[in-house]
Amino acid sequence: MENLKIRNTIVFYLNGQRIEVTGADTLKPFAHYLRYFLDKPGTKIVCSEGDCGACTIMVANFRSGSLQKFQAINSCIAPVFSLDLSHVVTVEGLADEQGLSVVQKAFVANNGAQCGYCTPGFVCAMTALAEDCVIENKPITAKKARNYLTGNLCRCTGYEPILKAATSIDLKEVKSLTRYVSKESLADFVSLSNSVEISGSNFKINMPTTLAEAAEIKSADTRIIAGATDLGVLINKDKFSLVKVLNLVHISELQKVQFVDGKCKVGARVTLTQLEESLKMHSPEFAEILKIFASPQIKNNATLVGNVVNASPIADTIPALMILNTVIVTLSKMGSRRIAITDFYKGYKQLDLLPEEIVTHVEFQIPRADQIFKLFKASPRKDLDISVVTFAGLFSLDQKMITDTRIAFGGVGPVVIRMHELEKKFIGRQFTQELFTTLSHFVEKEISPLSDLRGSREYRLKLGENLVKKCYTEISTEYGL
Amino acid sequence: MSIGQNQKHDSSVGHVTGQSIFIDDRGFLKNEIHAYPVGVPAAAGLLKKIDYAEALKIPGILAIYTAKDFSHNQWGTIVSEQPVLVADKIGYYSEPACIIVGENHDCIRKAKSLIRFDIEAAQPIFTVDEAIKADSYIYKATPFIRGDIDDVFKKAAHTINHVFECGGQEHFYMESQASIAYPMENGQIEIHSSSQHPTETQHVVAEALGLSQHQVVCVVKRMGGGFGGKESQAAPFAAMAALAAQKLNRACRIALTKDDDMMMTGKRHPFKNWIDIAFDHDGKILGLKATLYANGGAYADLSSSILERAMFHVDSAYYIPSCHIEGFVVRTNMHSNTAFRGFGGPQGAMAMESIIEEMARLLKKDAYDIRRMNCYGKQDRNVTPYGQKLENNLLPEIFDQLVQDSDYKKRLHEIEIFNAKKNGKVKGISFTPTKFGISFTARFLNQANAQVNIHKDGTIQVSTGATEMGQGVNTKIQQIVAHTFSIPADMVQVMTTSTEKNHNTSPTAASAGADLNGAAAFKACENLKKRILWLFQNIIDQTTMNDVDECPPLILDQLRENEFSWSNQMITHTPSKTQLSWSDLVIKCYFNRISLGEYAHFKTEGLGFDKKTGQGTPFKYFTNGVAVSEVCIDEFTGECKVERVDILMELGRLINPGIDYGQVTGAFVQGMGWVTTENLFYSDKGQLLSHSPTTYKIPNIQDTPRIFNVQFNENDLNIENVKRSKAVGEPPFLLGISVWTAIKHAIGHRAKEGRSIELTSPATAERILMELSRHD
Repeated sequence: MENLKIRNTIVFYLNGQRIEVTGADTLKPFAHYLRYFLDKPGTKIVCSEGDCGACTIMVANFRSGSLQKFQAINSCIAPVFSLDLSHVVTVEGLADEQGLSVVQKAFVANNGAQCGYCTPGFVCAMTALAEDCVIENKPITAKKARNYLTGNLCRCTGYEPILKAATSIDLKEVKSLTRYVSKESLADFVSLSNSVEISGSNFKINMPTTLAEAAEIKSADTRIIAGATDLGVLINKDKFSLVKVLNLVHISELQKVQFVDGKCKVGARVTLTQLEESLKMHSPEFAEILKIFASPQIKNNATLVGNVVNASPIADTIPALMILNTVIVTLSKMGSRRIAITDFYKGYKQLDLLPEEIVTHVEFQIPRADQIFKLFKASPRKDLDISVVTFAGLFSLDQKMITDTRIAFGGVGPVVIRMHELEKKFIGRQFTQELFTTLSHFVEKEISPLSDLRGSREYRLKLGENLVKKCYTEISTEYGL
Repeated sequence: MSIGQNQKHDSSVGHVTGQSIFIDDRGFLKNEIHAYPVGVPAAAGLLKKIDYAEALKIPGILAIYTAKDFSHNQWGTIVSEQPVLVADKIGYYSEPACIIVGENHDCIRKAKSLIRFDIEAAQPIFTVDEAIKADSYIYKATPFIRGDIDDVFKKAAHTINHVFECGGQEHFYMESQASIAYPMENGQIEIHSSSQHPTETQHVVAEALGLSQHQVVCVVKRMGGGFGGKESQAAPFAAMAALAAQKLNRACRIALTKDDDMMMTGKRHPFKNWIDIAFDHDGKILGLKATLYANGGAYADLSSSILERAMFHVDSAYYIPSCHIEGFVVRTNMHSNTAFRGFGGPQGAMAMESIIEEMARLLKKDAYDIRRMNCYGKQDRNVTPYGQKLENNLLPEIFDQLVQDSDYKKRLHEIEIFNAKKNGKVKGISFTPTKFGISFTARFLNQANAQVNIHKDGTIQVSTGATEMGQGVNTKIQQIVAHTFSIPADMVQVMTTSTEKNHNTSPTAASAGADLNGAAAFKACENLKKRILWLFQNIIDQTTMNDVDECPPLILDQLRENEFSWSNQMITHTPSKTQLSWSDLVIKCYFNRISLGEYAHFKTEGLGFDKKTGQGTPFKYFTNGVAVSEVCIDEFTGECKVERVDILMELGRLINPGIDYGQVTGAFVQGMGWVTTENLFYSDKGQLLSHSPTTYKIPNIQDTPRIFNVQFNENDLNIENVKRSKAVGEPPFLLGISVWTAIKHAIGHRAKEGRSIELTSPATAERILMELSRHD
């Protein structure tokens, strides 16, 4: 395979039709390209930041030599190049010669559409729901429908007609989108399994197939783009422009989640959806927080490593990683490094990471059965919202004696912090409400929140105190302590 | 029998397949260009100069226009005082000041960053309190006065003084403001706009460009949501595209991003209401003193009518024997606030519902009992503060029915037990009503016209001034027309709205789209029916009709309309049992040269309100409804979950139950968002910071109640309206208030006795938690 020529085009199939894109167009947001270059205006752009779902399309990526299942993504923040070697189905491709798809029929019959602007996105996201339920052989419940449609906003219906549409779908009638996947297209993808390099006068995109190649390419001014779920937004809002891009989607060894010796090792290309699935068995609590992390469309593209490296003080996964002895694994031309996450964050968005380094993996300890693990996220809206304050706590008990405690808070300062002073006060004490109430008042000594549009300093201080109290209430109820 | 059926939305198949065309989905003409407005970075002061020399140098940029490029730079629905582009005095932060015109999106984005504004800043006014202090007013309304209010307050057993404050609300229509202007022959302009008010858009464009009204046509196929946000405020953006089209003689498109739309356009009015109530030991209301202040923002827009509707609805659904209700619109340096579903009604009614919660706490009674006791009566206690009598008032029945159907009393008891456990959660439950006045309060707007054209194959095209924004008005009109001729709905097509077919139309607003335009279409159908039956009668009467003689002209008093019955595409002459099919009759009409097209004009009768006395009949009828909401609050975080909602709407006879159901659930959830998570956040300079869904949180699918029951009280009593139906668009929005009062009820379980609950709207998690901790 090494002898294959470097490719300078992006190839995908749109509703079964082969499309090749090259040059600067490959940097365009996919939804934009669909609407204004491919004459497919069914897909809508509303927020341009992956927060409303109007641009939802269905994508099956060809990765590590095989085609993954179709899943929903936000096409407004996905650059064209990120769809390389994928089957894409848009709202225009859901019906066939026999007429509307079963999802579309359900939508029509239940008045799921009013103004119609969010409808293409909803219909696509609901198609993902139907496809998955067929694969899993499980019925569509209202709960499941809500989870699949979290990333789609509708201002007209109040969602009830949409939920009725979802739960009325006859799964026996679902015709899988795999009808678009021809043998020829797969053979085409196999023949194209080489590295991509596209360049122009003011940009360069690299999509290597090996880690060694990636390390060679990564220079100080090369920006790694994973799912583009954050950078895509910045680009759309004129706050960032792409010059030199390194994309790791075609590197097989970064796509795995491995469980070894009570640890979980997550590759840089592992999406949050993939991680959530893998963790359901090993750490239901961690999987749970990923559930309200973001929408399916975002999680299908966003990566854990992206969340860690983006280094937001309100990143939802970092507090948990902070208390799970997490190690960041990097690679560069100079070699590999392992950095404890507690040393990784130096200040607001400042990392112990060299400009040439690539974060290849994140390794964390899976909470043991004898450890009580608690994650909270407080946000103005429960789902699909950015946190005001996040909390992670780990408690080991011997009878009612607390033998070990680890606590981290996010949203209370420039970086996510471990509460070392507070932790010490718990050790050796009895697990009682009085203890938690007393110690909750010490939280404010270690945090320094600011006021912003998501919450005032006073609110965040109060949340800091209350989440410690909430921790007691939940643990005592769940464990009968 | 089309009426009452769940006829599918006429665009539904297009919507689910992506084939429905919105403004920015239209194919580009070869020469088409883009226009984009740029806003000022200050809320108040003087714009001295715009430096755009560098921006003009970007390849692809064709022109940059400012206020002076318009023939007429002022617009405004009620008062023409708002500039299309800032000329000198700045009204609000992000107010459009110039328009960049270019070949594509990319060059416009580049040019935008190169524009510099030279501004002499001034001290801005943002809040109602600041405006009162600065004596900054747009409008003062005539008060509604009944009885000797001071005497009532002197003698009453109890009085409460209450200050109620609620925030604005972003419409968050999914399709942001968009228009395309096509230059036509002889200097004419055809403007396609995402507008609820094609006529006003036509007029504003004409005036701005120095054209006569007959030189501009406005076309509206559909909107991706409107909610009031495109009633007045679609027009200036249309004028911007039209200006470039006129100057450069090229089709020009404007499509705002969500961020710019949110920053540049007006929203629901924030209100601050001082409201004092007098009542007896049982909780019976004796008198009300209310002073309402609407934050109008920088310009008048529709604010005076919105304030008046707030005053009309401050009674909510309760009889108030004595009152003094007054209102003011203040002028501030905010975006110019505008129509939004409910149009002030929610801001008035919510103040009353808030004070009722306080009455209940003071009297230690169930708030529902106070509401029921004060509910408007059927025979007496049924005249509003502005002198309108409630006809066929079903409020008492629907109050009683919903309390029973929702198990309200039992659940209230269970909640009290639950809350006593103090397990970190506190619940609340609340019942609130809506009694929404239907009609534009500006009487002249209560008119509509329709054109109904029957084609030779019997299919029909209907055109009205109604605009389709998802609410299903086209489908309802389709059903009314199909029903009148007893033909299937799919034989009727409601056409694109255009001012060349229907002119001098009113905005599709005030919940009255189907009422007015449906009635106009119905009137046209009735006239057509008469001509068609006249032909049939002449056949029965064996009038000679052949190549020499034809059907005589219609003589109305000789038409025996009641001898004919219509059913399932067949028309029967009952006495002779002679039948003719619809298509047969239509073609016979054609060959007898009988007109198969009809234009009709409709106006709502019986409206009259004296603005000088504040008394009269502003509304044709009221749409009523009630809701019970139950919430559960996490006492550690203030996060609130709506667990169950029961709604009972009284909509007369439903034209389309499926569409009406969607209007009820949609309006309720939108109302719920307004009172909970939808928080507009501004910088201290007046810049809107919550300008996208990342920061402005409308309800999503996880936020809706887990149990959500909606039922209708169907009846035939509303003879006032087309097909005895009732308007549905806005009334259920007010039921969202029950979520807020339920939160207030929940906090009441933790509140200190004798201390009032200071909760403003929206009740965000932060506000709930901070209020709970105030009572710790």
